[in-house]
Amino acid sequence: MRISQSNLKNGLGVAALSMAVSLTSGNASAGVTDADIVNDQANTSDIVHYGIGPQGQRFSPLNKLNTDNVQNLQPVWAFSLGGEKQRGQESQPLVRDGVMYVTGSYSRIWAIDVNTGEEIWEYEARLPDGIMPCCDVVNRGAALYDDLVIFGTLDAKLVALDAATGKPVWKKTLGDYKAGYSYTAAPLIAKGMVITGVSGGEFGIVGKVEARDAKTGELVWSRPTVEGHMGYLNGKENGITGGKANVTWPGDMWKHGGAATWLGGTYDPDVDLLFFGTGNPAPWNSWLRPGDNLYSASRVAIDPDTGKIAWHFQTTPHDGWDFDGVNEFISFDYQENGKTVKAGATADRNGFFYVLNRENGDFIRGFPFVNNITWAKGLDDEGRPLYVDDNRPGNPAGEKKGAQVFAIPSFLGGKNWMPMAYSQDTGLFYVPSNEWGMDIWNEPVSYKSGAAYLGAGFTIKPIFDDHIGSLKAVDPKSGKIVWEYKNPAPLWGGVLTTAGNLVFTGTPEGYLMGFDARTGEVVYKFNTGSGIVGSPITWEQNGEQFVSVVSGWGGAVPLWGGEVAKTVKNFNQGGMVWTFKLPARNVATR
Amino acid sequence: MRLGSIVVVVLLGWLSASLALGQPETGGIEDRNLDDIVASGFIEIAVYRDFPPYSFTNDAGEAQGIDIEVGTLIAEGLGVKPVWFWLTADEDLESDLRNAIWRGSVFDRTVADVMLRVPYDREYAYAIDGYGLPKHEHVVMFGPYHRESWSIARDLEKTGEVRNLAIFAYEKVGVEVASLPDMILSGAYGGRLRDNVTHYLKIEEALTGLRAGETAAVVGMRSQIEWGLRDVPNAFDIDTDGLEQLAVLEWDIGAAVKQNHRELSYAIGDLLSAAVMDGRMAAIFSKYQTTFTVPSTYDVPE
Repeated sequence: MRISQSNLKNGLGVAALSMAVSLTSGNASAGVTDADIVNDQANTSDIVHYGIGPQGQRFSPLNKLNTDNVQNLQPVWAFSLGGEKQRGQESQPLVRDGVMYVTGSYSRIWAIDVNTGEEIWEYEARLPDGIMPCCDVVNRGAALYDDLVIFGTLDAKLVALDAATGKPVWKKTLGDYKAGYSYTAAPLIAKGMVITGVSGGEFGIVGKVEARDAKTGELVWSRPTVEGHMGYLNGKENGITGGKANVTWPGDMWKHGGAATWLGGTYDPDVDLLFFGTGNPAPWNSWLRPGDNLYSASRVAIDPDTGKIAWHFQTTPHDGWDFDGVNEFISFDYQENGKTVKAGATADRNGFFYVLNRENGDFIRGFPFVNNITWAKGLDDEGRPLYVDDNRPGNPAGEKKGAQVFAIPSFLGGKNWMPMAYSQDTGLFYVPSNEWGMDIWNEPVSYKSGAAYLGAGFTIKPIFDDHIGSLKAVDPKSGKIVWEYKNPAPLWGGVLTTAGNLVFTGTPEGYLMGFDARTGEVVYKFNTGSGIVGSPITWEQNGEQFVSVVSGWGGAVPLWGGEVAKTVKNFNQGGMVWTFKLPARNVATR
Repeated sequence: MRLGSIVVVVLLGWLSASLALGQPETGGIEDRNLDDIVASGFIEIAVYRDFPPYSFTNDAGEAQGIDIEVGTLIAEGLGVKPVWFWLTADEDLESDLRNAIWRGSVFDRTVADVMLRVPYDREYAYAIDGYGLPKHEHVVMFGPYHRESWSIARDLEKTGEVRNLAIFAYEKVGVEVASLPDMILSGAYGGRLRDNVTHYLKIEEALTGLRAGETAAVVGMRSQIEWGLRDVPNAFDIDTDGLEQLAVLEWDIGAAVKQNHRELSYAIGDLLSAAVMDGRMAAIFSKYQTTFTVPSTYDVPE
């Protein structure tokens, strides 16, 4: 009796689902192609890739919505990510043929009719019992390819769903969740392949970048990001990362060296390279692993055809502060002395902004983008930090208690995961940064899994009385901060900029904020009801410009106590996709 | 009144049905005091997952181990059935206490009634954080039932007569990655042993490596070393010689409950101390071929 009832319910569900699908996609939607992905930025009618194109500039050439009319931007619908699992919505939605695909925390994804905000389908990954993923429960977005929607889950699986029905087509394992691997990033699409990094805890994991056939999920190549580990191409050995083991690591520490690629990467079709950031090295006590510890805390450029590392640039060699330098590397061109410079930029956890030659990784320039950095005096001619030796956390091995140091920025970084944007109009990067430092010391008494342990204690502290968050407009040619918007709570959401002279980002206080891209003047503010830690998008349909952002407080900031928690303790959790548009009647001519 | 008792009967019936299936539904049953536990007929006990010889499942899927026996002893003493809350270890004890006892993990927000294998250390229990606030105010740690220690298992054919760590400038020594012995050995003598410190993800793998001749010694927790080498009792030399440099060589192990359930902590504490005093605790350890050491707070002959 129960069984037949549930069958009946399922039957009705399928019927309702197919009705919804046929209503929304009256014209058969064409599969997403490599050309669609490469043209994602230029084609303003949809958003088919994370970062608004694989270069990750987060720039839209749309200008219907602009500083003159942005006050008329209105919400048209909101969609709840429902259930009891509200925490931490760090996603960027995708839009294709009238359907929005948005991921939520706890490995969930929805297809939504963009005209009505009604659900078309939902997929919730079934996670194993007892899972303890290292890195929060967030998900940052999906990828589209052909007729598939591809996203990663907290148990380190990559799942491809039929875009029309939400039914699984293929599923692959990115790492063993029991060994500490997880996945939270948006997958990258390049040359018909879906390319992923991996998240992992501090202990025992090794970062890697992997390419799979996007249609079938079959592995094409795998490239570990720690020196000494073998790479593979089409099932065959393809060279050891860094040539051999033990060059920049002592003993066998390279075997468990960390360098997780947890934020995913970007791709520039112009120079045909993938760019991935790598996390901090393990163990955390830097005194035990003298050497640069390659390729931790680096940007690595990888040939998409061979899976070989073309170049690398290490932002924090021999990291001792947990400057988990996974930050996105964004390709951009600029003119200098009548020549085009093919550059790329990254704003690192360590507080420095780097401009590199993206063809060969050469350092062009670097400068601080947060105030009062303590751990380095600056960068040398090759971009290597000039360390302040007294500011390196002490060595606990053999001592009862190492000296306490106060380091700026804190280990949560001058900038954490949240992606910055680059405007082709203003030539500026819009960097969501945080001004905070940390006391760090060796804990004299600590335990782990029933065993005595030596851990590090830390206390994150604001640097200024009135703000931690700081959205900065950074000139990558001069290193100047052109404008700054100060926010009381730490910023944790991505940025969008448009040819309408606008910059959008969200705040933990819950506001979707719009700024004049040239001056930083606040030109728009809408309260979404919960903190924003997602990344906004904009697109055009039926002649109107739309904006969407996911609201839902969470991520790493509320996990840390004390003075920083004071600024966020009253923020309510949520889980809502907000979609806005500029109604056609409100489009003013500039 | 009548309606109320019907509801209670139905609820208890449902609980015993789920217990009978071996998969009790625990979601939503939160923050229970001693009376709630006794009335329900079960106690939910947090033990570490895949952690031999303390708590693990055998090939038949049955719960096994020292802490499983200790938990069963507690449940029997309270006149209830034990239900196991398998805890995946997080990065430190503070996180484990949060996940198991007072807040629940971010996944399901469920907690256990009591957690075992919690180090009993007043300095830790009353520690303050960097803002001057108590770090562990949400839990009460009590009931020491064992004293754990670091030990070293040596292959005497490789280490010879050398009883200190200097031998590992020449011979390989296995450790579990990121354990205290890992940190101390990697840092000792200005790093001169570092190249010979061989890292394994689990202590069991390190012991397999020792038996296979990959290393000359393994440093880890005594119970785990004894358990892992139980079938070759005389093949390796197990003691603490040379480990004086470890910041903490021995520590007591007890239990923890949420801070508002002190009555429960007293009841469990009494059961544990009785078992330590009357020899039942030592019997549990000998069943697993490991050495029982009386906690430092007891004044009884071993």
